[in-house]
Amino acid sequence: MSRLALLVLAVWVATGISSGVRAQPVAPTQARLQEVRHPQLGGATVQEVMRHAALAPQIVDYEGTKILSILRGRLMETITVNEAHKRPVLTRLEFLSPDGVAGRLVLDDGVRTWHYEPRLNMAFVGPTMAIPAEAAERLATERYRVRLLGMEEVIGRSTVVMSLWPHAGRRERRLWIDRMTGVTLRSEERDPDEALVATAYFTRISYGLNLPAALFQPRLPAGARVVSQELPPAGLMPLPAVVERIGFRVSVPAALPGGFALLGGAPIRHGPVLAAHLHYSDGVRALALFVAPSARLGPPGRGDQVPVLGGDARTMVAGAMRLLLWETGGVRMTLVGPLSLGEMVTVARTLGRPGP
Amino acid sequence: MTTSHRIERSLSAYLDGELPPEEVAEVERHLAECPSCRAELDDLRATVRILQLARTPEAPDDLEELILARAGRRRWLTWPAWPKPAVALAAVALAVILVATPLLRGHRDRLRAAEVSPDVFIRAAVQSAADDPFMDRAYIGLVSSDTNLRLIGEEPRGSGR
Repeated sequence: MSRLALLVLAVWVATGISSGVRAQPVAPTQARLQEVRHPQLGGATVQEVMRHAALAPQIVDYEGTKILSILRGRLMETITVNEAHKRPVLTRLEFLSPDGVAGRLVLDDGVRTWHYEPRLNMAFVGPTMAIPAEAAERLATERYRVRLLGMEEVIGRSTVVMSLWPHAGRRERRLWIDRMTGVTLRSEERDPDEALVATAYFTRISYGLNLPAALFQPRLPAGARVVSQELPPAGLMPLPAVVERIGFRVSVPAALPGGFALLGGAPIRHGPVLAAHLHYSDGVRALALFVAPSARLGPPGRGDQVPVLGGDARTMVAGAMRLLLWETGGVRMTLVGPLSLGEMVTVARTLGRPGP
Repeated sequence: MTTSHRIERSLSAYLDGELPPEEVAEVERHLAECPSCRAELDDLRATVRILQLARTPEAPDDLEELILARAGRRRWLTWPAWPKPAVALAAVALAVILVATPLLRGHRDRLRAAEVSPDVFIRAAVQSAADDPFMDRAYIGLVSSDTNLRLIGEEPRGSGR
């Protein structure tokens, strides 16, 4: 963990600047503004505050109730979840409402995630959601530029309001960062037209509860079935390195409609399937493109046909993710992301015309 | 897709010894409870056995004499210009097995890959989305758990279309 971040936090907190100033947009982002020291922030730069927010889970324990509002299709869905975190990496999510998710439990010990689904008495083991401190700090700096919007109160706590703009992509993320702890108390995601597409905010939060580690350990009821759905971790690498690993040619654009830019890729193998996994982002949403030789795959049997793309293009929905697959030039393209069908089709047309 | 359907998809890999130990245990637990899947496994075993048992038929020792007798002991062509019938039959059988086995196996692998790949790709996409330090962890937990359910054929919370 960065000692610099801790030092900045100490300076920031010790300075104790009075809060209550309403959010005021600051001048447009320029590279050098990232390094300007703000009196409002106790002499810290916006970059330092952003890095501190990325590192906050490493140094703070908390427990609170959070509301998620997510755009699914054309509807906004609201989810209530009890979120507990014990530094550096333990997380517990207990979903409270609506009925479809009530009782669902997700535990993360920094190595793997346990998801227990009470209505099925089933547990799923998967990879951790936690990001190592060094990676969190590096990714925050690499991916985002940030500007200060001002100060606001959220659930009675003083927060710094920051706007994060991805270096690649057009979506904006706004964060309300607790000045005392660095925890993000509220976040908003906006599309390029400034429309709100997702929010997450705490309705209450408590710090320093000394939460017992046992709270984060899976204790499965008798008879619970456990399903492992782990995949080997794959770090992102440049496209030529991916092509070298998979042994077949992949030709895709570095940028896609909607502001999606290629961040890198990785080979992925599962049984007889060897594919290139390419990771695009618009700064907020992740879009995955999988490219595999058609000869290695049978005809797609599932999903709804997409007449607008012709041929055998098919789509299916998995939770908040949509999948669109089609074939072009002897390869099977599979696009996965939290996008509408219209957006997926636009991207698919850029990637290659579906075959007959 | 029910649990049985998911297990059925794993039976071939189970038979080939290609599953990781935890999935082997899960398949075996399911087999103990599900007569339909046990029957499916027996069918698969029988198919594999047939392929393994397909051996060169052995001709009787007096086959040549019998054929020559019926042909009036006329040798139109003599060995080795044409192989002995038994050898020819064995060669044809061997060729059929050598050609058919990879074709059958390849077809089966292709079908299995087509079934598996969308699920695997969705899981990998969710995993890669989690590497953003500012992506809300509760949101990732929700999407990830929804995907877990989808992978076993359960609708998490309506279709969302």
